[in-house]
Amino acid sequence: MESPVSHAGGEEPEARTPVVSSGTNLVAGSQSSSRSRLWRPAAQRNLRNQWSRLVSCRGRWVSASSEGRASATALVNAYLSRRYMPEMNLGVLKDMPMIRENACEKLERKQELCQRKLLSSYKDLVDAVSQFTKARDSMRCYLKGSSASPLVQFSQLSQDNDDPGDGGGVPVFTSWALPYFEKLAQELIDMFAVEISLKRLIVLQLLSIACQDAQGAQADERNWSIELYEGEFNDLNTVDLLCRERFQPNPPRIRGFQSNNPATEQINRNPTRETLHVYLTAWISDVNVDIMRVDEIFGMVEDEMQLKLS
Amino acid sequence: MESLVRKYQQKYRKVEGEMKRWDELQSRLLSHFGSASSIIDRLEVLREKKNYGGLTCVDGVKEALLGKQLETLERIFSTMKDILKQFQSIVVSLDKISKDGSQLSKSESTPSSCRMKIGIKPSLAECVEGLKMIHEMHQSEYLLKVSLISALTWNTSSREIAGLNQFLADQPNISKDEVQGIFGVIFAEEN
Repeated sequence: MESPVSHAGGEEPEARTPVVSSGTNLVAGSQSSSRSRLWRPAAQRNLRNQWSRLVSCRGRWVSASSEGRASATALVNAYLSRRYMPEMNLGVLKDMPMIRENACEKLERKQELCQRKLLSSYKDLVDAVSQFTKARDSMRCYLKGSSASPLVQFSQLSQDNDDPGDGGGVPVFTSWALPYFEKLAQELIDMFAVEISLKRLIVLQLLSIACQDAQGAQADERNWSIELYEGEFNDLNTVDLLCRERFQPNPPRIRGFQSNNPATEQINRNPTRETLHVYLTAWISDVNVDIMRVDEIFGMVEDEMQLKLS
Repeated sequence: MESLVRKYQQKYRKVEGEMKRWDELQSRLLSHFGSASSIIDRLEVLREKKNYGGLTCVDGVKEALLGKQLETLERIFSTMKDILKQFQSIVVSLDKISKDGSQLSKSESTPSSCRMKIGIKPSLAECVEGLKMIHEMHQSEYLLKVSLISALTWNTSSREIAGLNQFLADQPNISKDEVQGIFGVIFAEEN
C-alpha cells in the first residue's frame, strides 16, 4: 500500500515516489493511507475523463480547422473571380446584358457567406482551445467534506485550502504525479493557443477583403483590437490570449520567435493573388502546432494510463 | 504439351497480379507527385517577403511556413522513394517469372516443339517471349521513373515539373496494346 509521501519536483515523471509503507505514525498513517487508497481510483477516473475530453477537443480543432480552410479557399476564389471579372473572356455570353454585374453580385454574396462561415470556424477553434483549458483546470481531485467524516467523497472543486488535490504527490497511475498531467496539458494548450492568435490575424485579413465600396465602411472598422465576434475577448481570456492592461488580444506570433511587433494594424483590403496564397498556406500549416509532439503527448499519457483514449 | 501451356497460363495470371499492383502504385505515385509539385510552386510564393501582406508583422512567419512546407516535401519525397522500391520489387518478380518461364521450356521441350502451335493454343516460344517482353517493358519504365523522380527537387521550375509529370503519367515504355495482345494470344481459348 502506498502512503502519500510528498516529494519535491512532483512534475518529474522520472522521480518516482518510492512505495513505502509508513509504520511510524500508525494512526495518522493508516488514516491518510486509507484516504489515499480511495483517492487514487477517483483521481484516475477523473484524469481519464479529462484526457478523453482533450482528445475530443483535438478532434474538434482538426475539423474546425479544415472547415475554415474550405471556407477560406472558397472566399479567396470568389474574391479573385470577381476581381478578374472585367478582363474575363466570357465568349458567347459577353453580349448578354448585365452579365458581368450579375455575376459579380453573386460572387460577392458568396464571399460574404464564406466570410461568415470562416468566422464561425474560428469561433469553434477558440472554443476547442478553451475546452482544453477547462480540462486542464479540472484535473485535480479534492476530498469533499470533512476528513473526519466516515464517508469519503471527491470533487473537482477545492473546498479546503490545505488540500492541493494531488493526493499528496503519489503516482496516480503508474509513475506520474498529478501535476505532470497538468504540465502536459499545458504544453498542448500553449501550442494551440499561439496558433489561435496567428489564425485570428489570418481571419482578420480575410474578413477585411473589400466587398464593395459602399459596404467598405463597415469592414474598415475591423482591426486587431476589436472583437471579431461577440464575446470573443472573454473566450480569449480563458486561453490567456488577452492582454489585460490594454484589453486587446496579444499580438500574433510564431512559437520560438519573440514577437515584439504590435504592428497588426496593416490591413490590406485588396491583397494580391500571391498574398492570398500565403494566407491560405498559413492557415493550413498549423505552424505553431507540432503534430508529432501532440501525438507523442497523447501516446505517453495512454501508456501511463495503460488504456486507449477516445 | 497441354499441361505445359497451362503452367505458362498460371505464370501469366501471376504477371497480371503484379501489373495490377503496378497500376495501384502508379496512381499513388502520381498523387504524391502532384502534391510535391504544388508545394514546390508554393515555395516560390513563400520565398518573397512582399507576398506576406498582413502577416509581415509576425516575426518568423516566413521561416516557419517555409520550414513546414519543406518538411512536408521531404516526407513526400521519402514516400515516393518507398513507392519506387515497390516498383522495383515488381520488376524483380517479373524477371523471376520470365526466367522461370524460359527454364521451363528448355527443360520440358525440344527446340522444334517450342514453335509448334496446336489449334489456337499459344506456342511455347510465344509464352516465353511474352513474359520476357512484359518484364523488359516494366524494367525500362522503372528506370525512367527513377530518373524522373530524381529530377524533381525543391527548385525545379513549374515548366519542368509539368514535363516530368507528363512522362510519369504516360509510362511510355509500357504499351498497353502490346500487353493486351500478348494476353490475347496466351488465353486465346478463353475468349
